[in-house]
Amino acid sequence: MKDLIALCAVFLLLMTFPVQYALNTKNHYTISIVQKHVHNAKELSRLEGYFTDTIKNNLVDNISSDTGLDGSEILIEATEMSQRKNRGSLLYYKVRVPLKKIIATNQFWGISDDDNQSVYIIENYAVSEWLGK
Amino acid sequence: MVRKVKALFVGCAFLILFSLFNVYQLEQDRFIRAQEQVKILCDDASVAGALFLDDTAYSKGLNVFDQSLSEPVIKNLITHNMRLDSNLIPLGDSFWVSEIEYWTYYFDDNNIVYVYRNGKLIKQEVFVKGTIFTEPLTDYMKIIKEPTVITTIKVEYPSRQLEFLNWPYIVRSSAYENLDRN
Repeated sequence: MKDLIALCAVFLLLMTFPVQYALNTKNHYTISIVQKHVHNAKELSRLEGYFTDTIKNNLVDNISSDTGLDGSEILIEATEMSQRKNRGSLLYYKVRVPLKKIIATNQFWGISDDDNQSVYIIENYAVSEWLGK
Repeated sequence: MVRKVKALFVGCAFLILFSLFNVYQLEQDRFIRAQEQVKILCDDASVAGALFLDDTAYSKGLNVFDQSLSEPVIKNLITHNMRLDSNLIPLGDSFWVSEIEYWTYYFDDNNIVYVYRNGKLIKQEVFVKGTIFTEPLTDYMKIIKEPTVITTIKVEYPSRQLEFLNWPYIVRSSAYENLDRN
């Protein structure tokens, strides 16, 4: 009986690692998906000289449908129409996506749910191809 | 007693092994993402290089890149995206740790290849269309048939927690080909 209890405790402790492996893979996949969609949105915005509302809405929808995140949690800050860039100028974009779980068995290690989250940020520039008016 | 100590050692060994594996996995994921970022930046830089054409040559039906306009744009793009100063040294908030280097190769209808390193012309020589160009750093090979811009970025990768897995440099190349619409 004593051995069985010890085995259960050890088993719980060791199980955290495979579960953490799965969570790391999931977070990496989420980040890859976000990178892919942001890259596609950036390519479209270069032609327009700014991030149009359609591009931004599509970006949020795509990320949200592929990752299961709520669209309101995805924040985009980017070059607006009033700051439209001509060919050769740089467009700015910053996309924030929450990662809601970093440690798989956080309660086991005494980490609260609030502390166990992070935000993945992509903040970059792209060259505009817009030829101007 | 001996059995219990043995079990403790085995348990500790598993803990250390799994911890190392987790650190390795996280660092490897970060390394892959860093490589993708450099590759995307190379893509963007090669597109920027092909963005400006010489008007006079174009009026004669030739696609000749205007490097005097392209090079400042490429430098601007790289310094902004990698958070570098004007000497290509990382700023305080940059992920990168040491000076980066980049090369741009312009092949156009002049049949001359212009090679720039960090925005400065270092070489120009005649090339024949249809021949294979091999990028010296990455061994990236491409048959040059159309006006093309190739960009290579070399950057030192920050050291890892698991030092024996250190991979000192990321070097990536990308080409943009200005295809004839006809």
